[in-house]
Amino acid sequence: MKSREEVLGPNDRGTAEKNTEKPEEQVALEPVGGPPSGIRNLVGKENGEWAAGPSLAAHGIIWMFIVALISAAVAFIRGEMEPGYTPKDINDAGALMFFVLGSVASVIAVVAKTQGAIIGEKQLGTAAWVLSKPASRRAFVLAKLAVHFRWLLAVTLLFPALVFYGLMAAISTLPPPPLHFLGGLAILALGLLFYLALSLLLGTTFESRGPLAGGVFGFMVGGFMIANYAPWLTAAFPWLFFQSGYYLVTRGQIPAYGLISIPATALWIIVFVLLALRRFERAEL
Amino acid sequence: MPTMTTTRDDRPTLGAHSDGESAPAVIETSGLTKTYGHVAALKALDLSVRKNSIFGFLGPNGAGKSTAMKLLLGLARPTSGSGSIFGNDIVSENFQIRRRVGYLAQDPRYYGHMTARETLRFVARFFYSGPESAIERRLDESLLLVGLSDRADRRVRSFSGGELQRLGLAQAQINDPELLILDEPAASLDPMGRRDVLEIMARLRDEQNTTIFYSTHILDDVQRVSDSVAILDRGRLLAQAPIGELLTVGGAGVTVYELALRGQSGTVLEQARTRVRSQSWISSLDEFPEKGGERHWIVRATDQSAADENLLRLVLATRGVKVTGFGRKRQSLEEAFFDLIEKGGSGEV
Repeated sequence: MKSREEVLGPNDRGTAEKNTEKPEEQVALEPVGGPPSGIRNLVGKENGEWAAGPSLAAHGIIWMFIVALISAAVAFIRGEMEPGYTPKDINDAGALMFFVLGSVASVIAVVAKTQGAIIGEKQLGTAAWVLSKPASRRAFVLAKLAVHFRWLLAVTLLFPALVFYGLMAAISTLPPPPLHFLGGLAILALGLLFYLALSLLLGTTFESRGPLAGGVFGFMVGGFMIANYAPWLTAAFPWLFFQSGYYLVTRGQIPAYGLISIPATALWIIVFVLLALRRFERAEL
Repeated sequence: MPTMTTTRDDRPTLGAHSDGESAPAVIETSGLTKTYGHVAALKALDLSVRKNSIFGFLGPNGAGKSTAMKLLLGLARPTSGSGSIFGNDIVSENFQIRRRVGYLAQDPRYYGHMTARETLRFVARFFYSGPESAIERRLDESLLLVGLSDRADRRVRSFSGGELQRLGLAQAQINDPELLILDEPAASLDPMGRRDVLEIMARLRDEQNTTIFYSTHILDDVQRVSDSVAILDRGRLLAQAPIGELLTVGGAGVTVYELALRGQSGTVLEQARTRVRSQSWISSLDEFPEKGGERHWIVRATDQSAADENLLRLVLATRGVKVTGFGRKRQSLEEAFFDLIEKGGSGEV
């Protein structure tokens, strides 16, 4: 190690009183403004983490194969097997698969990618390290929400949707109505955000990953089961978002329970995020 | 180079400052308490760390040192009591505190996908918005300071414990903090690395007026570099004092002196003993034989000023007595530490 004097030269740091005779570099450096602080920096770090490792490529390949290629393949096979199928029938078959697989894929990807987002940082001590700097806890959570949503949306829904749409145009010769397809995609995106917000909330609540993964998966699977016994509950949660998306693309409309579940889900997202922020604000690191 | 002085027990010290009782307190806590369930991690801590000092925070594992540091930084909330840094409340104003503080955690962990340079850039951007060239210059200086320039672009996940510790020091001082809080800063370092860390700490205090509050298990390091020391055991503060005071033996109102001397005869030595014992400010004199006919005296004085001025003179006034060693008896920090821990454990403190 070198002394600061050796590094900086004798005149740079030898001030008798701090801030009375600022070294040249201190004058040049501009301090960051007040809170909420660190959000840009934390967003950059989260983006870097997504881009640096193999997870972006892995998620991209897996979900492209499952959501886009399998859905398109099913539509192609159904079209080949049923000579009487019209282009719309082929589109409908593909759309059903796309919305079911897209819906499930987004939940699995959320759990796989974010189960350690907060818990892992709490366990490792990186959360304590970051929050010993002038970074707000709110920024810490919101940066994760924003960046994970961006990348998970891209790898589980957006890119597969683009490829799926292109393949369907080739297979059925008449692609699904683009605005309806976009609307269906937006519904799935809202569902993704719901599970992401739930995952982050559970991350601020629990100290290990098991309850988080179990909680998010359990909520999705439990929802499918509840839908059979208490269908009215599906209006309050995004369990049947795949149906809403499918109906929007194939019939041009969303069933009543689906229409209610969209604002209800948006409300849940707000509640989950606020609770996550509140819990993390009080977390002991 | 820092000022090297030598204490009586020949331990080199890195220019320890006087305690600076007049200096304002940077850290102050009052009854700061933290409990986890039924376990009290910290019990009513009253601490005062003066500006521009190096304050050693000592204690065995589980004493509550890291908990206290986390409370100061707002990473944990006190169960009761209060604290302030730079006059800012540690609970309600910890954001303002963190802008002026550098922190190195025990067993520091960073994002493995980042290089050392990226890690420092990440930290620097919490404090500085630019310009980029100035930030980059600061990164280069920090890397050079801790000897990581040649490993600047290696991913942190491949770093050894010692390299992580160096990176920890670099990131802790990147904002030129007024207060450094270091949790076991030399724990993973080899002896050379430890020495370097202590030197950097002394330089930051001397050249930058930085106040350093650090915890360690390495008592020798504390004695070398600290101005003041607090000893914590099982969450309880056992002692807090300037290092010199802590190492001075004698108890309240009594100063203990050690003399090594020779006399031409037993009679001469008896004269010297009588002369010393006759002083009203001497409470006891014990003599122990040493090798080669030398005598070792332990003298307890109730008036330190009078003893400092007259004790040696009194002994030397006896013809035929040669004094080969004289000074206030000091204990090592290790002796003081274990003494306090043992007394603390039996509730005698």
